[in-house]
Amino acid sequence: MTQVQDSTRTERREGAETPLIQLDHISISFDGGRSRAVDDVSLAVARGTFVSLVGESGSGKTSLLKTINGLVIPFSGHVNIEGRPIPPADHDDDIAAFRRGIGYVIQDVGLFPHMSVAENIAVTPRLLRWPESRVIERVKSLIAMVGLPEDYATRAPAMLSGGQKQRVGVARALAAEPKIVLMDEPFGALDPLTRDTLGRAYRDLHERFGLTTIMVTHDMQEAALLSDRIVVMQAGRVICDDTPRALLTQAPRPEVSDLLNLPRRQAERIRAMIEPEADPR
Amino acid sequence: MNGQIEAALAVLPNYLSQHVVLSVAALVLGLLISFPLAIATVRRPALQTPVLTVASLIQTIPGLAMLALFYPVLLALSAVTTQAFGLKIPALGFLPSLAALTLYAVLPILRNTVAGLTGIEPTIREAARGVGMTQRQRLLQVEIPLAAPVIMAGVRTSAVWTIGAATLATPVGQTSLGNYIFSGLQTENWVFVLFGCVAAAALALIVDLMLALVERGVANRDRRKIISGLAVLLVGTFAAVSPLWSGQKAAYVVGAKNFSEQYILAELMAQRLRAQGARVALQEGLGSAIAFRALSSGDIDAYVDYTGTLWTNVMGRKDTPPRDVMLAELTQWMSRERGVTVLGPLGFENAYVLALRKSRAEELGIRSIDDLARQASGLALGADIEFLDRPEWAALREAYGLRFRQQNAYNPTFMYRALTNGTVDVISAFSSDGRIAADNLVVLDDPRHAVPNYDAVILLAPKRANDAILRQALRPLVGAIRVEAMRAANYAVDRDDDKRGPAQAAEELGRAIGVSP
Repeated sequence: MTQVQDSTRTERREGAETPLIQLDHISISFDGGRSRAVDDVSLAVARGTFVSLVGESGSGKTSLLKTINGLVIPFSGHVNIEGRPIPPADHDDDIAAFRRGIGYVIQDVGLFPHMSVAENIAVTPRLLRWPESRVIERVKSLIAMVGLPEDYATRAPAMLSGGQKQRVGVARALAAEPKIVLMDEPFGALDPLTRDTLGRAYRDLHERFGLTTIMVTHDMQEAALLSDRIVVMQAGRVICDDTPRALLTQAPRPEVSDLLNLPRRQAERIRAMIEPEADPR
Repeated sequence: MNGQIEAALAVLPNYLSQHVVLSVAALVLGLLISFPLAIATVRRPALQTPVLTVASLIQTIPGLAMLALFYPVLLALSAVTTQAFGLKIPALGFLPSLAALTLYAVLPILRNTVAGLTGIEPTIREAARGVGMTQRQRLLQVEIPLAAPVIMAGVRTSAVWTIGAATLATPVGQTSLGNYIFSGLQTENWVFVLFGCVAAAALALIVDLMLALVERGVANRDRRKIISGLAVLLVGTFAAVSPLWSGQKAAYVVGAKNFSEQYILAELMAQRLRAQGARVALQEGLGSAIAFRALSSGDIDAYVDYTGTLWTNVMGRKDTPPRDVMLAELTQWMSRERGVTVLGPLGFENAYVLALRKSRAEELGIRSIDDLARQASGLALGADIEFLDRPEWAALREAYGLRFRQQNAYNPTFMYRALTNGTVDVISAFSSDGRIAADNLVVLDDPRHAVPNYDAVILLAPKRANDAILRQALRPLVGAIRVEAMRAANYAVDRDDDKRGPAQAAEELGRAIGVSP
C-alpha cells in the first residue's frame, strides 16, 4: 500500500472532517437556465446531524433535497455522498441501487396501494435481495418501532389513518438500514398532535440508528424542536444556517426572528386568555 | 321453424370453433402489439398523439371494408413473395380476417393501457423512484399492477368488439358465426340470421362476464376471481375449438358466392363429393370477384359461375356471341390462360332479365324488350341495388333506347313486393329465380342479344384439373339441371312458408333431377 492511499483512508476515518453529504455550488433550473429555483447553494452535512431546510413555498428547499437522491438533477454544481459523486441519471440501474441506500419520506407518503403494510415496508430490502427471513424480521421490528399494532402488517394502506400511513412511510424509508434519510414535509399533512408525536418518535429513531437526516419543512417551530441545525432558504438562496438555539436567541434577520418568535407570541396570547391581567402584547 | 333450428345447430360446432379460434388469435395478437406499443408510448410522450390518432383512424374504417381491403393487399403481397421466395400467402380466409380483426383489437387495449399507466398518481411514481426501483421494476411492480384494472377494461372492450366483428369474416372466406347471418340474409332465412346474431351476442356476453370477473379480481387483488374467470375462459375456448382437433382437414373445398342458388349448388356438389367418400368443406358467401380469384389460386377447388360474368369480368370482353360460341371460347380461354377447367354447363341460365307480372304484360301487350321500350316512358322500373350500375343495364338501355318514367332500387325481397303490389311495372330479375314462377311473372325476350348468356358452369381449380374423384362426382350434374328445377329449389329456400335450408333444398334438387347420391 502506498502512502497516498493511506492518507486518504486516514481522512475518511475522521468522519467529522469529511461531511457525509456535500453539496457544491448547486444551481437548479427547470427552464434550461433562464430562471433558477436554487441559486449557487453549497452545504455540508456531517454524519449524525439532523438538518432542517426551512423556507416558504418556492424557496427551492424541496428541489435542493431531491438533488441528494438524484430525483432532481442540478443545472450546475456537484453532489457528493461520502466523497463520491452520485451516479448519473441515465444509468438507471446505478441510480436505482444508489437510492436504495437512502431513506425517503414524502408528505403524501406514496404507499403502494396494491401492497399490504408489510409489503410496503419490505420493498427496498426485497429490491436488495435480502434473505426472506431477514426481511420478515426487519418488517416486524419496524412496525413495532414506529408504534403500529402488530396485526397492521396485513392491512391495505387504504385502511389506515393519515398518521398511521406516515408511520408506515417512515418504516419503509428505514427498512433497508440507510445511513441517510431525506424527508420532504413528512408530517405536514397531519393534525398537530399526531405531528408532534410522530416528529418526536422519529427523532428517537434518528438517535437510535445514528442517522443523518435532512428534513424539508415550512414550519419553523417543528424545525426548532427536532433538528440540530436549521438552514433557512429564500428565493433559491440560503439566508441563514445555524443551530436552533443560536437562531432563537440572536436571529440574524428580522424575517427569521419573526418566524421563530411566532409560536412564543401565540403561546403568550393563549396564556392571556387564561390569565387576563398578564399583557399579551 | 324447428327444422331450421336443427339445421343451424348442426353446423354450430364448426362455425363456433372457427369463430373462437379467429377471435382468440386476433385478441392475443392485438395484446402482443398494443401492450409494448402502449409502454413505448408512455415512455416517449411525443409518440402518444400520433400513435393514438392512427389507432383511432383504423377504428373508424368500417369492419367490412377493412376485411375487404386486406384481400387485395395480401394478394399483392402474395404475388411478391411468390416471385421472391416461392412462398404463397393465402389471401382468403383466416389471414386477412386475422389481420383486420387484430387491427381492431389494438385500439381499446392501447388506449386503456396508456390511460392506466399515465393515470398513476405522481406521488406513487415518486415513491417508486425514491425506494430505488429501476424503470423496469417500477413498470412491473407498481405501474402495471396499478393500471391492471383499466387495462383489463380495455381487454374486455376489445374482446367484445373482436367477437362481434369476427362475424364479418364470412365474405372473405373465413367461416364464422357470420355464416348464419350472411347466408340467412341472402336466402331470407330469418331464423338463421337471428341464430347467428344470438350466438355471437351470447359468446360476447359470456366472454365479457368472465373478463369482468377477472377485472374485478385484478382490482380487488382477489386471486380466486382471476383464476376462476380465466379458467372458465380457457376451458370454454378448448371446448369450443375441440371440433377442429377431432375433424380431419377437408380434402376438397367447394366455394359459393353469396346468394341462395350458389348455396344450394355448393351443397349439392358437396353432397355428391361426400357420397364418393371425400371430406368436403364449404366456403360460402364469397364476393363475386373474390370467388374466381379464390378458385384460380387454389383456395377453393370448385364452384359454379356464369358464362356472361366470366366473359365480361374475367376475360374483359364486350361482345355477346351466341351461347355455344361463347361457351367454347370461354372453355378454351380458361384452360389456356388460367389453367381453370370449365367442366360444363349445368343446363340452366341465371341471366339478368326484365320481368313483368303476366297480367300486366298481357294488358300492355308486351312480349319483348322492344315492346317494352315503346311504352317505357309511362312505366316504372324496380331494380336490385346492383343492377343499375352493371354493364348489362347500360347495354340494354343503349340497345333498346330504354327510358323509364321512374327507376327505383330495392333489396330483392322488396323489389318483388313492389312489383306484385303495383308500385313498379317492370323489375330486373334473375332468370332462375324461384319467384318468377311463384309470382306468375313473364320474362321478356332480348331479340337484340344485348345481354350475354349466363349459363351456369362448374369450374375446377387448376390443381384439380385431372382429379378423378372431383370429376366423377360432379360430371353427372352437367346438363342435368333445367331452369324449372333450379327455380323450384331457389324458391324453396327463398319463400317464407315451409322454408328449406340450402342443404335440404340441395337434397331435394338432387332427387328431382335424378342424381341423388
